[in-house]
Amino acid sequence: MTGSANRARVRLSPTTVVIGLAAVAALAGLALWRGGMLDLPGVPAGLTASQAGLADLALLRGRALRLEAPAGHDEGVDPAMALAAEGLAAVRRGEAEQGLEKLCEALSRKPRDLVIGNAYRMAVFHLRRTWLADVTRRETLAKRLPPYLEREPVATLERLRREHPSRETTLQLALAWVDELMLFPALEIQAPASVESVNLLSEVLASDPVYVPALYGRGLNYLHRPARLVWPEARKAAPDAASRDLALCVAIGRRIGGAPPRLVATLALALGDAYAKEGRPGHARSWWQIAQNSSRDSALLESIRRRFAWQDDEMLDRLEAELEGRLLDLEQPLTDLSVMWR
Amino acid sequence: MHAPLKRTLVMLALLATGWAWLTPPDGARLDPGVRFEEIGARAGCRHLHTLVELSPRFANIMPWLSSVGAAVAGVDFDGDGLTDLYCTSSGRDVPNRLFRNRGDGSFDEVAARAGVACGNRQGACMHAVFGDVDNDGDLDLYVVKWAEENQFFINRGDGTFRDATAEAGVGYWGYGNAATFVDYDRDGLLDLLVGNYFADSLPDPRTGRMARSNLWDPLTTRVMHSTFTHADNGGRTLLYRGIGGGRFEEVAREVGLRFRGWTLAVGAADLNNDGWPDLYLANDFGPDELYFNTGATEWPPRFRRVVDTTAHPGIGDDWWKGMNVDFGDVDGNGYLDLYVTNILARRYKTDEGNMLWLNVADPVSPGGRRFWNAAEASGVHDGGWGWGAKFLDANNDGLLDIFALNGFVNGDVNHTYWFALQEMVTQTRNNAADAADWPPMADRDLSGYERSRLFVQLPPDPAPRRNGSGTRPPRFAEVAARAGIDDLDNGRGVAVIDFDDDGALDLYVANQGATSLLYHNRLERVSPGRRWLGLRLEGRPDLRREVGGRMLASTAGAVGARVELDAGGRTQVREVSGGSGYASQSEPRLHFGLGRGGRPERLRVRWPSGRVQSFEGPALEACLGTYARLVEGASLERGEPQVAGRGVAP
Amino acid sequence: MPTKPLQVVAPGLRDPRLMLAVALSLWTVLGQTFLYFNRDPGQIAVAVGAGCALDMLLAFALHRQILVPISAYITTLSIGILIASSDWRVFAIASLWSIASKYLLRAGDRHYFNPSNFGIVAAVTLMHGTATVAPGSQWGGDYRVAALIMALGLAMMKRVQRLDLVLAWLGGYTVMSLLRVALGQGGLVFALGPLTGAEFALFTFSMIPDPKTNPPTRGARIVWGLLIAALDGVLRFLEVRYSMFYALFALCAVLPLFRQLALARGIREADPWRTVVLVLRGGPEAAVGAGEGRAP
Repeated sequence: MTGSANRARVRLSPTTVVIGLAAVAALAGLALWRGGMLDLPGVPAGLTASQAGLADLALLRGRALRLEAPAGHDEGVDPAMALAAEGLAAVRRGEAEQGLEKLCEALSRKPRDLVIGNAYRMAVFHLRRTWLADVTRRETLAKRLPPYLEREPVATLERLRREHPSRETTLQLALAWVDELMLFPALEIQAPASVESVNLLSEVLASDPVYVPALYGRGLNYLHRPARLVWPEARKAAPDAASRDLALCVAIGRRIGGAPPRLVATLALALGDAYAKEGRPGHARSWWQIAQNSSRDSALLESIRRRFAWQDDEMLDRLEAELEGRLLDLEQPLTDLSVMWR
Repeated sequence: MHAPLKRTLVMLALLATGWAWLTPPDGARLDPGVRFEEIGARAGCRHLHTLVELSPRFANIMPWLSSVGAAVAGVDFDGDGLTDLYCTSSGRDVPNRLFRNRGDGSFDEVAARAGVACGNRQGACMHAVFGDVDNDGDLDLYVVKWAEENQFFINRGDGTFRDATAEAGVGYWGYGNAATFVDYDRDGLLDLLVGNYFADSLPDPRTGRMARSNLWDPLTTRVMHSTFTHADNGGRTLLYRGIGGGRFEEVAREVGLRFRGWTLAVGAADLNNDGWPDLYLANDFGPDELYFNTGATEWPPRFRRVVDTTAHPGIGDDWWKGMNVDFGDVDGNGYLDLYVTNILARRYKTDEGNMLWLNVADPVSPGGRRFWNAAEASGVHDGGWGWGAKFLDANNDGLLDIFALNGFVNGDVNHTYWFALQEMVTQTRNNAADAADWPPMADRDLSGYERSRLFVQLPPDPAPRRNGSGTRPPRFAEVAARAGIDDLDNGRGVAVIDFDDDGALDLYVANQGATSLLYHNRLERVSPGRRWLGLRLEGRPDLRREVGGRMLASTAGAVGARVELDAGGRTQVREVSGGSGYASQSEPRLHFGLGRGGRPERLRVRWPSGRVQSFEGPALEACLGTYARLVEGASLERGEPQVAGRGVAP
Repeated sequence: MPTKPLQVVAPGLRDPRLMLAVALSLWTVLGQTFLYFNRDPGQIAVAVGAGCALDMLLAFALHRQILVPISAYITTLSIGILIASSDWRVFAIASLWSIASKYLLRAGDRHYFNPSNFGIVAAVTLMHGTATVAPGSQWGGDYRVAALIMALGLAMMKRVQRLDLVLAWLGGYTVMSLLRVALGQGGLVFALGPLTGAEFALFTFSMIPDPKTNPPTRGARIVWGLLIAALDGVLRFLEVRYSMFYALFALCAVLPLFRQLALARGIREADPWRTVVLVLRGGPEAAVGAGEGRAP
């Protein structure tokens, strides 16, 4: 039987073994320091959840639920929330204009509330979307939206930001620009809207470099910019802009922890897409793998399965088509912040 | 030992067998499935091109300098639905010719009557291109010349033209060889891109100041290119932006076209599918220029030059001789590819060759597209000393083929100028700028007597990968001689036309210093039953659309409109061209081959105004075998079927 | 010449190859259903059918045996799982090549290439780009499944007495990965991630330890494993796609050279692997070492 010592066996003294193991350990340390586990960017020490904008997600969830609940007169509900709930209910009943007014009012009372802001934006989004779909269906020449929808939500949010400058209001305005480019997908509208959005988010990140919603928003902006857009030299973005922002998001998320699995998977999937768009299919697949391991959501798994079927040389074309489809999926807008707390 | 060696050889044989079994079939023995018959004399559209003759101070290389100028444009100038032909002459006092298609297989020469004979009183005509500048439904004409103001004619609509050069402001005096109409800002008014070869002014050796360079009365013989590989002392590029009322303003420098290459051909097409036409300038003695249009991201639009420094050479970064550019989607990935002709001479120069730039996705290049030269892999790189070349579906099988002209100077075959040329190129100074330094050509031959090339595309492998930027390029077989194209003239411009409306594309070749040829496509004889569909687009400049703060509209000729036809599991892409390629303009109507039993499934039209129209079902199928007509915003109209008596008798 | 009587050659119930064949079959089924192999069952059938048929034919023609093609089954099933192509002919040809290499490419008394490795390398190199090893099977469906496979695989290796080889290979791979990460080629998860993939598992547990194509002694096996890891690491750093397969192929290709060297020096040894050991240790007098530790 093999295993018996013979002349071919290398003689290993204990010293050699120890030195060998030490060398490997040192190498491992070097590797960890150089590339880390996941090749993610470093996160500042002492980072708090509130700095990252990820504090009290459960609280936000609660508030969102109360917003959706039928209008009852709860004590302890703050007036802004109550007003917002009324407004939402009114919109659902079909009294769009009044409902939006109430929501606006609620928002100006609590401009930094992400739940109210998101509800307002989503309400406007769906109203505009329905209106535009109607117009197309009826093939009328009425191309203009009704006045209470025409310049919204950008106009209101711009005003809000001027009156109450903060990272939340700037974020909402930036996302409103993305809403715009989702509803009007012509390249000539997408490009300046995306530029506007990125500028606003960069403003936020200049003073709050670890604010995750802004990072995620900017990363998605870069990711969904169609590759075929030709930017003037001065305005072109760095090729790895998307992956940098999204990788930082993921790194922060991992440091803070406690994120719902679906959110983790969504982030990982987006990061994989960013790497794929930058021509790094190996990294992309690794991140899609991680996304797959993080969540049991069937829609997400289905989209990951699709990605694994792509060969290297067709990846860019297929990814562009997939990203475009995702952007124009108006049922589940990309800018719906509720993914954070759902 | 023998046994192991024997066994290894058997294994190698097995490997070779498997490899060979999977090797895609070679087209060398292929039956071309297409046949052309030269009928120029019978049809009465033969034109003898006359050479330009410059100052005797250039006598030593006069054959070289006078080797350009035979251009042709195949368009319907009188609106009767039949394609006519306009040919240039470059000799002093020799008029250009306009052949009007009578519809019965013969032509009338009417240049003088129409007022477009020109005549080379001072300079020499080099190129001609038609476009509907005033949007009145008929084609106007721009003639590019050396040492004489370029001329612009407005079509009166009754078969005659009037000279409108002065009011248009496009009478540039220089040495142009290329022009194309394009609507680069999509405002519904045609713009005009002009590429020039020699510089229009040079330093006067006596005073040192810049003075007009007149090759008939030169101040100096130092008029040639600075180097053979990176020459940047050519003529400047002009972009005339249409501003309405038949007037233009020159904006080349503002939009970023600043390079002074020795431009031989220009073309415009949307290469990254963003709806905005991009530009390609094929330059001799140096890098070609590829510009992407930034219209989607900035206003007013500008052009951003794209240079691929990673390949050897990469697009826009070559040191070769670009002589032509044409656009077509050969590999079916939905993006237009380019064919640029160049020089390849067996025994003398085999490091270059024609280029087939396949358009594939790329993560970092501007516009998300990269181009790789698949010419050698595809079998289309040996075109000889190339000139005009076009993509066309010659055998109506649904795959784009390539027709490429060639031949430089026919001379005494026992005395070639190649050795002298190579010697000049390999000198350390590589300085050939002074024509007087060039060895005399006398009657030496320089890549003369070359046969044109017809590269027929072979059907792809049985299991093609769809929708991928795959690395397997399409393959072609060269069949010109077997298809009946075997002239040894030096072709320059080629117009791809269907003069008899039978759905089989014919070729009109303008030969340098020789008679032109009309190759009639006898497809029905060799490959009967191949179906086709034609399309004539008419834009509505009045139907403007507001998009992102811009007012977009289509020109009346719908230049830049993109059409996609789904048939038989493949998508064919065409774009309405304002004339691209060396000394060539093909007819503007679009042609799709469908193969045997092919059915058109879906037709998508994207107008320059941004409007999208889609057709399928019976309305589309009814147009089979005709040139359908589509006016922007209206419905598809079936064309007239081939009328008995029309076309050439068999 | 008396005709040899027909023999039926079948694996015994305790033949380790049987276990491997069952494991592989199970995994193929899993791959089609839960994991992301994305294989066309028809193509796998073509690969297995062609290869097994050839093996049976050759065994009958050359040795008058009726062979139950368990080795060929394992080989061709690996090929069917790993190769991706839209052309069915690729599978047939790759299988045929791999079985042929067993009979044709011999040094001494046995073949010196691992058959499935040979088939795969030949396919991706010679098939004009129509054959690839599909990336979808590079990672496992779930890291827990991957860990299970790793554990089962190692247990199997213990049974076939190739644990030393596989551990050397895995250890070498890990060290090379750390080196690659230290040199900036990405994060640890990316470098070590392929360990969880189908490609890696097949390579580690069915290609390398194929009993006939690795050295006979423990020391030599450890060196062999480390060599493969070293070459693979270098190729991965250079971003060569099929690094593992090329590494094993290149190392096996060197064996006939050693055979020639051995003959030149007068070493007469039938086993090509022992020949290498002998040549490296130098001289015919080293042939005294023959007879020790033969591989089963």
